[in-house]
Amino acid sequence: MALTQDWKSQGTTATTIDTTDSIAFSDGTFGHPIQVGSYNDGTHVRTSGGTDKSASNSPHNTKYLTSTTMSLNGGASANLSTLTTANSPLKITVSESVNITVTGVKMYAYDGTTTTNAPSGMNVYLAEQGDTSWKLAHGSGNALVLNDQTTPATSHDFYVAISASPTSIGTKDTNKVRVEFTYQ
Amino acid sequence: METKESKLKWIAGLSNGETIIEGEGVASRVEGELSPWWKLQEYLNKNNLTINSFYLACGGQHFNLPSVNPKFNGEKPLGYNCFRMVQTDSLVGDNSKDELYICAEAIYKCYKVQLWVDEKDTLKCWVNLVRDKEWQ
Repeated sequence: MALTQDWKSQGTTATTIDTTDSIAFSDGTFGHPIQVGSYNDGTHVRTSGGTDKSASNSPHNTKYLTSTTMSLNGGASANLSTLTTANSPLKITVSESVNITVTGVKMYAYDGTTTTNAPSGMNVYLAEQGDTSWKLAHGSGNALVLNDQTTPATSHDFYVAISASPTSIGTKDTNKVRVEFTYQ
Repeated sequence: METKESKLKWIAGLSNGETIIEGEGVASRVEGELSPWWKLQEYLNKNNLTINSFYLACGGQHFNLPSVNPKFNGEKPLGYNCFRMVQTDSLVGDNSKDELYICAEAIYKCYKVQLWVDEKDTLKCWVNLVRDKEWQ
C-alpha cells in the first residue's frame, strides 16, 4: 500500500472529507453566510454538488475569539489549549502499510493559486490540538507547524482546530488549505 | 486519498561492501514492519556499519550524492538521510496541484546537500544547500 491521507470532520460521528469535498464555514446554519468581520459558527463538509455531507454528524466547530481563546460548538469562551482531540474539528490521518515517521508537518491557507499568497478575502486561523494560541496561517511562509511524530507507526493522527472570517463580501471558494509533510 | 507508489528507490552502498536497495532484502517492504529506511538504520546500528555511497534510482536513471570517496574532488559526507515530501490541497475538490518528492541528503559538519527528485516527473531534480540551524 502506498501512503494514504484521510481527512475527517469530527462530530458525534466523523465525516470523511473526500477529494471532491470541501469545508464550508457558516453562521451556524449550513449555507448561511458569515458577516464580514465575524467568525464561523458552523463547520460542515460540503459535497461538490453543494449538499451538507455532515448534516447528520453534528460536526464540531471552533470559533476564534481571541488569540488564545475559542468557542467550541457555540459554548462560552475557553482557552484554546483545553480543546481535546475528540472535539477537534479536523482529524488528519497519515497511514502506510509499513511503520513510518512523519515530520515537518505544515498547514496553511492560500489563495488557491500561489502557495505563498494569503487567502483572498478571508482570515484563516489554525491550531494544533494542545496549542495555546491560534496561528493566522496565511501562505506557506506563515504556516502552522504541527508536532513531529518520530516513533515509527503505520498510522499517525493530527488534530487541528480551524476558524475563518470573511474580510469582504462574497463566496471565498477559490481559497485552499494546504498540508506539507515529510515521511521516511 | 492515496499517494501513488513511488517509482524511485534509494540505493545505499555499505562499509562492508553490501548494496542495500529500498524494498529488497534487508530493506524489504513488509506490512506492519519498519519502513525500508528505518530497517536500514536498524541494520547499520546492529552491525556497526556505515553508508559509503548513496543514490536515487529510477530505472536506469541515477541521481548520485557524493560518496565517501567522492568523484570530482568533492567533499566526503559524514552521513546520509532520505525522506519523501508530500504537499497537498486536501480540503478542496481539485488535487491536481499535489506534489510528491523524494529527497536524499548528504550530511556535512554544518550543512546538508539535498538532492530532490519529483516523483511525478522523475526527469526533474533540484540540488539544495541547507545550513544546520546552529550555523545560521
